[in-house]
Order: sequence, then structure tokens, then C-alpha cells
Amino acid sequence: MMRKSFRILLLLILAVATSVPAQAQKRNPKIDVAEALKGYFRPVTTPSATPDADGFIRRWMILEPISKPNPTNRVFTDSYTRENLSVEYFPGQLTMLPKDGDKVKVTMEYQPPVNLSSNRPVAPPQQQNQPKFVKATLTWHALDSDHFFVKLFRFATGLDKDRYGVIFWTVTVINCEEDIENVRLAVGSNKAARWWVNGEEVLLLAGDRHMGVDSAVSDRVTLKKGRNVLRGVTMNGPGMSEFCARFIDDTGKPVTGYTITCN
Amino acid sequence: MNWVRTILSLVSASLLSLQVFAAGEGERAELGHYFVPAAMEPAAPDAEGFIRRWTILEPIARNFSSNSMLTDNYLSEAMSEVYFKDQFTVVPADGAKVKYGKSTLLWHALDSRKFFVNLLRFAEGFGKEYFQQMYWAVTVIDCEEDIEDVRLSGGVNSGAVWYLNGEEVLRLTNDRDLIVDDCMSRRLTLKKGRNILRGAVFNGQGMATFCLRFVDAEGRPVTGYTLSAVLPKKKK
Amino acid sequence: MKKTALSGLAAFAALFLCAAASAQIGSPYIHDPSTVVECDGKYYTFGTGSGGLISEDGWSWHSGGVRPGGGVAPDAIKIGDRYLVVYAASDRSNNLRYHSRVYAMWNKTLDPTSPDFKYTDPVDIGGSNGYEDCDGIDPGLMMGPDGRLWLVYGTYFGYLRVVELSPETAEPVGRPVDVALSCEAGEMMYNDGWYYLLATHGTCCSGVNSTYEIIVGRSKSPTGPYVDNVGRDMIHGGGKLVLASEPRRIGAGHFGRFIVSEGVEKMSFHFEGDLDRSGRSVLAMRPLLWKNGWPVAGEPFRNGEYSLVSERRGYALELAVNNVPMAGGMRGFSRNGDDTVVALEDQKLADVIGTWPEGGIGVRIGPELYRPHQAWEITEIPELGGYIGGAYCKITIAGTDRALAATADREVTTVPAFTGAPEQLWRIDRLTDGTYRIMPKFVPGTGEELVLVSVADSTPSLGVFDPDSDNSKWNLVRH
Repeated sequence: MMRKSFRILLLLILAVATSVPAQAQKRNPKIDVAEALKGYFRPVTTPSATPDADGFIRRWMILEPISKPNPTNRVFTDSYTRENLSVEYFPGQLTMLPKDGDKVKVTMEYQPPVNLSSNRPVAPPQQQNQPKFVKATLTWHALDSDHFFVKLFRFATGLDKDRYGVIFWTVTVINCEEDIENVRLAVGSNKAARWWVNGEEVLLLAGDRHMGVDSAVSDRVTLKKGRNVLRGVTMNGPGMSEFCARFIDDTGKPVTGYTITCN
Repeated sequence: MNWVRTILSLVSASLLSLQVFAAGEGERAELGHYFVPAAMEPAAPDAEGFIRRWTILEPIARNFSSNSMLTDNYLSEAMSEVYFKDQFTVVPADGAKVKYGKSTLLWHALDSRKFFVNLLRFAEGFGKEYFQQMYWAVTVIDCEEDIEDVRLSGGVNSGAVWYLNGEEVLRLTNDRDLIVDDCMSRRLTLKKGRNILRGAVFNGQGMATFCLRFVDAEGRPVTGYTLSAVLPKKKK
Repeated sequence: MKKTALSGLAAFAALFLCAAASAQIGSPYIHDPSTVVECDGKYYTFGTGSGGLISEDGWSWHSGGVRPGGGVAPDAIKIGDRYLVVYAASDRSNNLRYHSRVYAMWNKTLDPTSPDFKYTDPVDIGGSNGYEDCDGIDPGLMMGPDGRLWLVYGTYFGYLRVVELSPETAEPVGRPVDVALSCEAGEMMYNDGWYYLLATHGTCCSGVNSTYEIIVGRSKSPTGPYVDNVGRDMIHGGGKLVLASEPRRIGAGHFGRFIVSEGVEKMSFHFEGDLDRSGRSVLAMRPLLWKNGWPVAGEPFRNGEYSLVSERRGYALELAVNNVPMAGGMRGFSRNGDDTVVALEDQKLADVIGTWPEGGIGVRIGPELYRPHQAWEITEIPELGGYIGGAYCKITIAGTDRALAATADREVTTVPAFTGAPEQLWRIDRLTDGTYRIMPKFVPGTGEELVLVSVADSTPSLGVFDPDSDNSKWNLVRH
């Protein structure tokens, strides 16, 4: 779905620079994460967290975005989503439990920095005949979200990374004192995503979708006594990227009886 | 209602002398449960506009077994027959007689105790057959001024044709039930002076009733006129 | 039931009840049916003449109900652990046409094969004396929300009357009150602070030429006044139409309410003439809806191609397959109207089916685009059984045999071909608010009654029906 702002921009062919700071156009290797993500995330400072009152999981390890230029949000069919989120971007991406500051090396498609005067990539990816691949080193960040949702877009912009056409890997650990049966992972996602509980895929979210609470849920799963790994990967095109995730019970009520650690 | 009480007191002497109107305590529903003789004084429609004063002819037998037979065609044919002289123009007096075949039928000027007119009880009360019958009814409407854009509105069990000042204005076909405002005429004018409302009601089996009133453009009852019957001098 | 046709009809009824007994399996022939009552898992309704109909599932009816006393137009209600059955009979001695009495009798069961099956002697509980403007037949019973029992009776000959009865003995405990004029086949019900009086207008007992129709008024008191939707008192002939006829079935009368569960209600009645059944009088059922405080007869289900739209978000059930783009796409923002306008074709099944996997395909819920993966053909399969109010359906992707099915893990999916297995059969109930409940006949591995739910905006599943949750409700949007 084309965002209204894009439509207006298209119509008016605005070429005037916006008030977004010019520094965002340059890559800055030394960023104060707490300051850069202020208003959206805080670095994790406590050993464990709980879901919020509505059951939303706010503590996550988030990997800096992997460039995957998606020309539009219309591309996110089931097969495209599955295919592109099945690519191995880094070793152990479905099993590793990273620590804050861990780095991974990836090979990813190059995309030019966003031209903020049009709020779109300079060269739309669909106009590139041959993708150009680059190597990059990306960092995991242990973060608590200030909101029930995880604003991936602000994570990217705050850290001065690619913001459109990117892939975000996220993982967290759910610690249960007892088995919690018949719960569903409920995710609202902007945009396409895949989610795993303890290594088993439980959700595929395709389509040009927006983040709605409980937009899609998994089949009934069991959160087993002890540690459970919840992992998701979210991919966007041009526009916002974010997700919210919680577990709900069979009556749709949020599940809150567990703790969350990053690693 | 006060006017009913007034009429009742005015005619009580007559009523008591008329055995046919006895409203006895027995279980049988007598004519007096349903009607009183029409009073000499003009009456108004009731508060809801229903016309309760009618001069009704004792029923004429019609051979139809089912009320479903009361189609448009049936009513057209039935109303094209001549039953008695001047049937579309006469303003009969109470007690006037009509020759129909070998029988003599009487007109009765009555005020209904209910908003509707129970023709079955009328026939029964006068010792007449009440199934498969046709009932003629006439009333006189006097207006001080023209009353425009009114509709004649009514319900009937089971079929009827109504005429205002000689013109057919309302036809209720098929097997109908007594429903207030079931059918209405087009917009009419009750002219200043005398208007004659006349009709014939048909019923095959079961109950036989009708109710009629005039309503204005908003559907409210019209009450600003008087109703009268022609009463023989001896009643005065 | 109009008295005038009674004698002939009673004779006719007796004739067909006897003569056609062996042909009545699945043949719901009845006139003036009582309210349908459930007893030990079976459904019963009684009609004019002796006897009545029984159904194992509420769908397939056959004769076999036993009600002594003859007479006309019975009604039945369960009170505590007993069943109260009332009927009326007329005494025409002394040349009285409208001397009619209502009789009450009790039974511990309605199952004639049960050792407990024994009616008490009928007791006269009211009626008409033959002289008054009332014809005391067509009794209807209602238990009010306060545990008070009410009886309504009467016909076009005068007034319908309401009288309170003792719920222990069914004997009258008050004086009858006139509540309606010129109607018959009365029945009362209570809903959300209102008492409703259902009755009929029109011609009864004329087969396909009947004009019987069910009307309703409502009141804050069981003794009226019952007023219709335009403010007319039923004692002035008022009444809002509930149902008259449907294509090929004519003359609705003798309303009865059957509450399946909260939010799921049916109305039973007869059609005087069923053109598909020799013009005979048949038992009929419709969903009973409530709209602005008035009962509404829901339309009968019709086979066809539908979108299954979740009441939760308004998204539609679809196969979890790629949404194949249509040719064309964005035409720009021009307001130029000079271009020739052409109609584009819908996406067709043949355009996309080759992209679908061949085995089981999951389902999800997504924005309605009227694409082939969202088009569901819903088809009743009467021979595979039914439930009260309808036959089980198969729900297939239109143009294919791919069928919606319940799974053992209480989810929902599609199987490549419909086999008639019970998990592929669906019960579709119209709910009182006009939406639908879609329920598999059987969920493997569980005895639970589960329904199709929108557990999330985009995710269907099976869950317990909650009448207060839009997650449990669907709309069938006809294509």
C-alpha cells in the first residue's frame, strides 16, 4: 500500500529538502546508542524484564539492518517473503544467541544512501540492472523498547543505517517457570516477516501489511519450562518498519507469566 | 367517553324499551354490547377520528364460500349489480325498508360502541344470517368549510368498497383483517356542507367488521366535522 | 388456524398422517406446528390433529410424535423437568361456532418410546364461551424472564387474549386480557426488556392460495398494549410483518422461537403451501434475527459463491497462497477523462491455480480483493445430515474441489479434494445480529464444539463460540 505521504510527494514532485538533519546522509561510525535511539529504545541495563501489562515483549536483541533493496511493498508475496527470508545472511542465523555488541559479517546488496530531498532511495532498486554486493559488519544491540512496539525504522535511522529495503533480525529469550500450553505468538508487523519459537517456524507474515496488535497469530504452541528462544526476521520496502509481539492465551488474553532476557 | 354517556342518557328510555339492545349480564353478547341507536343530535368522530355513526342495511346474502374470493373482479361485479332502488344515492332513514327479492330489509341508524363496526353482531342482533353476506352502510358528514387533502382510511374484515359523494374512493380487496389504516384513498376534499359516505362490506366466514376515518396529510385523524343519521319523526 | 376450515382440515390431516406415514422420513408435513421443543437430544413439534413430528437432528423430520386429544394448533414448552402441551378443541353443540376450550396436559418426556411417557389428563384452562368476541383456539405459551407463565389464544373472530397460568398446574391465575384484534396463531416471547406478541394476519388453510403472514407487536408488559413499529396497537389491528412467504413457499404462520444458545436463535413455523411438495403444509425454520428491537426472519441460506468476511476486522478468509498480481496496475493520477474506458476482467481461477501447491493449503484472512483464492463456494449437502435450521455444507474454493477442513490441532486448513468427511462439513448458523457462525461438524480428536474464529486479524482458527466476540462471527458476502 503506497503511503499517503509518498503519493503527495509524487503528485507535487517536491524537490525541496526537508528538515531532517543532513548528518543522516553520512555514515557515522561513532554513535552514542542511548542518545541515538532516545524516545524509542534504551540499552538493556537489568538482568531480566517481564512482558508489559498487555503482554508485549519489549526486550530484544536487534541486529543492524541487512540491506535488501525491495522496490515496493507490493513484492511481499508468500513465496517472495519465504524465499528472501530463507537466505543465509550470516552463519547460525536461526540458532545463535548473540550478546550485546556481538558482530556478524554479511554480504549484502548495495543500495545508495537515501536522498532525503525526495525521501526515497536515489536510484530506485528496480532500475538497477545488476545488483552490486558489498560486505558489511553489523552489530547486535540489546535494547528495551520504550513502546509496546519495536520501531525498527528508528533503530535503523538512529544508528545511521539503511532504512528502506532492509532486513532486521531480532531474538529474545523467554524464561518460564512451568510449561505454558496453548498459547499463540501474536504479531503485528510492518512488513513481511518470519517468526520461530524454539527453532520451529510458527508464523509467516506476507503482504503489504501494517502493524496491528494481534494482526496474525501462530497455531497453538507451548512455552516450555525453562528457556525458550523467540526469533523473528522482518523485511521492509520503502516506508515504515516495526513490529509488536506478544503471546496470547486461548481466550485472546495476553500471557505475562514469564521473564525475558536477551542472553 | 362523555358524549357516549350523553347519548346513553338521552336515549336510555328508548334503549330500555328495545329488547334487541339489551346488554344483559348473561354470557351471550347482545347487540347492546356493540351499538346504541343513533342519537338525534349530530355526533363528532371519536378522538381518533373513527366514524361510529352509521345507517346499516340488514345483510344481503351473497354466495361466496371463501373470503379469498373477494378479488377486485368480484367486488366490481358485485357492486355493478342492482340490489335496491337508488342504492348509490339514497340517504336512508332509520327504519326505512328495502325490497330485495322476496325479502324486506330494514335500515338501522346506529352508533357503534367501539371504534369499529361489528357487522356480524349487527346481523346476529337483528336475527339475520351473518356468513356470506353483504352489508350496506351510509353516513352523513357535515362540514362547516371545505376540508382538503384528507384521505379516507380504513380496515375491514374481509372486503369492502367505499364511495364519497357518489365516487368510489376506497376498495379493500381479498381476505383482509381489521387493521387501522390498512388502506387509504387518494387525497380527497370533504366539501363544505353535506357529504355522503357510503359503502358495502362483504364477508364470507368468520368475523365481519370495518373501521373508517379520515386522516390529514400527516396521517393525523380529522375530527372537525359532524355525523348524522336520518331519524324518523317518531324518534324525535 | 381459522376455525371455518377446521373440520375439513382435521379430516384431511388425519388422512395424510395415516396414509403417508412411511413416506414421511425427511418429510416435514404439519399444519399449525407448536414451538419446537428439545427432549433428550431429539426435537419435537406437534400440529393440528393428533401427533406430531420428531427429528433426530433438527433437520430431518418424520412423523411419530404422540399427542392425544386431537383438536387444533397445539403448543409445547419445557418447564423444569416436565413438558407442558396445550391444544384447543371446539364444541359445536348448541350451534355455537366459537365455543372453544384450551386444554393442558403434562408429560415427563416427549419420547413415546420412553417408559416415562405418559400424559396427564387434559385440563380446561380457558377459552371462549361461544358468544363472546373470542375464539379460544391457537394457544401459545411463554415463560417470562420472571418465571411467570403466560398463555395467549384466539383467532380472527374477535380478540387474542392473554392470561397468566400457574407454572405448576397450568391453571389460570388471573383474568384474560384482550391484547389484539383480528389476528390468530398467537405466540409470545420475551427479549431484552420487551414482550413480543407474534400472530398472523391473512388467510389460513388455503394451501398455495393462503395469505397467512406472521406479524409482531411489542409491549413492556405481557398483558400489553402490544404496539407495532409505527405505533399502532395490535388491538387496532397493528402488527409489523415478520414473514409472509418465500420463493416457492407460501403463507407463514404459527411462529415458534427456538433458542439454540445465546446469540443463536431459530424461528419455526409452517408454510401453508410448499410448491416443491405438492402444495402441502410444511414445517419450516428460519434464523431469528433481532434488529432495532424487532424480530426479523433471516433469509434462508442459499448455495453460492461467497466471501467469508470476518466480523473482527472485515478481512476475508483466503487460501494462504501468493496473491498473484493482475495485469495493468497503477494508471497514474490523471483526471483526464478523454481516454477510452475499458472494463478489465476479473482475475480468473485459471490465471492463478497453477501457482498453488497441490496438497493441503493453509488458510488465512486478508483484505478482500475478490480474487480466486478468496472465493468460496458454499453448498448444502442435505444427504449428509443437518442440524436445527439447515443442512451441513461443504465450503470449497470456487471452481475447485479444494475444501475447508478442521484439523486435529484445532486449526483450519484446506484439503485438495472434498471427501465428505465430517471435518469437511460445516454448520452455518445465522446469528441474531445477522452475522454467521461457521462450525465444523466434527473436529478430530476433540469432543468440543468449536467454531471458525478470527483469532487474529489475519489468522483463522477454531475456538469456542463467544456470542459477544466479533472473533466468532462472519459475514457471507455473495459474489
